[in-house]
Amino acid sequence: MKKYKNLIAQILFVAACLVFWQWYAKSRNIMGFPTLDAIFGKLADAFTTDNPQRRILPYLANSMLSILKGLGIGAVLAVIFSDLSVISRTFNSIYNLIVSIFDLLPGVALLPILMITIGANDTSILILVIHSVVWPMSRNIIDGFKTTPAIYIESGKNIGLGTFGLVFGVYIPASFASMLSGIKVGWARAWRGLISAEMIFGAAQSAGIGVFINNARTTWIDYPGVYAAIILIIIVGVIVEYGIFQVIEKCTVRKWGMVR
Amino acid sequence: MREMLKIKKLTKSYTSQNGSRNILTDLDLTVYENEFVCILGPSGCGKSTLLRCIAGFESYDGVIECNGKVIKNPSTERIMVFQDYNQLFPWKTIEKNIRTPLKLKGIKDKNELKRISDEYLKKVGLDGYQKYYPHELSGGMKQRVAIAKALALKPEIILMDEPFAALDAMTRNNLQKELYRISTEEQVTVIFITHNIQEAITLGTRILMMDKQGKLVIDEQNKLKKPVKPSTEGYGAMWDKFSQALEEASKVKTSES
Repeated sequence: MKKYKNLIAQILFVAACLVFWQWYAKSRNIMGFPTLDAIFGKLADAFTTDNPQRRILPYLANSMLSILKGLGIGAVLAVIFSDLSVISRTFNSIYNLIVSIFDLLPGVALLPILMITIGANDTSILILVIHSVVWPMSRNIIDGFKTTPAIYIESGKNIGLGTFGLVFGVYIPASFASMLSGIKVGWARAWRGLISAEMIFGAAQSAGIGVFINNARTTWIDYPGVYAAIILIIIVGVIVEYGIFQVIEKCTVRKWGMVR
Repeated sequence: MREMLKIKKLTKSYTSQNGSRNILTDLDLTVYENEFVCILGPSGCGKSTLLRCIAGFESYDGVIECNGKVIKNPSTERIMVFQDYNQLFPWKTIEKNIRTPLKLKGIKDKNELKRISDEYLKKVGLDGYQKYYPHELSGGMKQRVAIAKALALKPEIILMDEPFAALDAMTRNNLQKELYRISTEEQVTVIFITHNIQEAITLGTRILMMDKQGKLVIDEQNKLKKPVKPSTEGYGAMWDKFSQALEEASKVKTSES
């Protein structure tokens, strides 16, 4: 019953906000504050328009492709580096240092250097996404490894697992919950970093959704279009959280009784 | 009788801020095939350390040989059943927890793996729980699985470190009975650590006692008629004897060198 109460409160809150928005936008008629029907009309239009320049799907696809590539490479690197720091103490101390330094560095701050050395292209974007993913994920994986109960490790050694067997058979599944939260943080940072970079780059090789927002603002002077893109960004975020991460969680750590 | 485990002059010391301290000093022990050795002792006497040395989890001075081979590392020949019943991998189902070590040991045939895991789950009374995850089982059931896992591997020795200590009295009694039954059915050699006298008398074919200084002060065959019950002739006298010895063993002898 309490669950429904919260849900009703949330729905009422959102509805109230939307009503206020619509009323304010209608009464003031400001360019940067379009009405809801204009925004959602634009969102629908962006999917159906014949003008290839203004079709939002290819932009979205480009962004998703960059982030998937970056997330994939970043996650693999994070797993490899974290594994190495379980195996070697020297590597662990060096890697800890690297992670603490780079984890604090916003990806966008690296953009000027990337632009001058690599250029305003997809590689720069990819590096930026990898940078956003690899450090927080490494931090979480290493934390997970460190908190792996000694009894699992001893049990693993006892049944004949070697060094690599222990990493894949014990450390990784035992720290799967923290790996997941690491990839969640990585994804959130990468998604934000990517869109910032796209907006700063303006026109990269393959234009992403950040470029769409920029174009809508400067070239097309289309503020409902800006909002439409923002809504799409939020929708993608929600789908990834509820459609992907929560499903993975349910099929793994929740099923295993490792998180409540 | 064949010598299964031979320990000669085992010394184990721990180094802490207050200096180095010997937990075990020049300990000798020979365990024979199919013996069920119960080691009694006050807490902190080093009985768990002894077991961990045999398992290969600790470095040590002296010689420990299992079936003629010197022990350096953990191996499936010496399977440990821990006290903590969260020793099963929570990310694997019950049957996978039993099958994984078998696979690592080299049994690849799927049907054979299934046959073995089913057989031993049945043996510990958990037939039908194959697809469950450990968190869906009670503490006592998890210990049963851990025992099934150890038995299925057909190890040279099963090492049990107070496996029933964290269970309630009723579950503990049931598990003792079943472990006794299984130990008579299977050809197993067991070293069983406990601080519970009743448990040692019920299960052990040979009972040892370790004192606070890590020395074996009692080593005797359990000649009571099996299965042992509190009403078994001689039980009371034996219990009294061990109880007194345990009290004596718990004293820290500071005067000793």
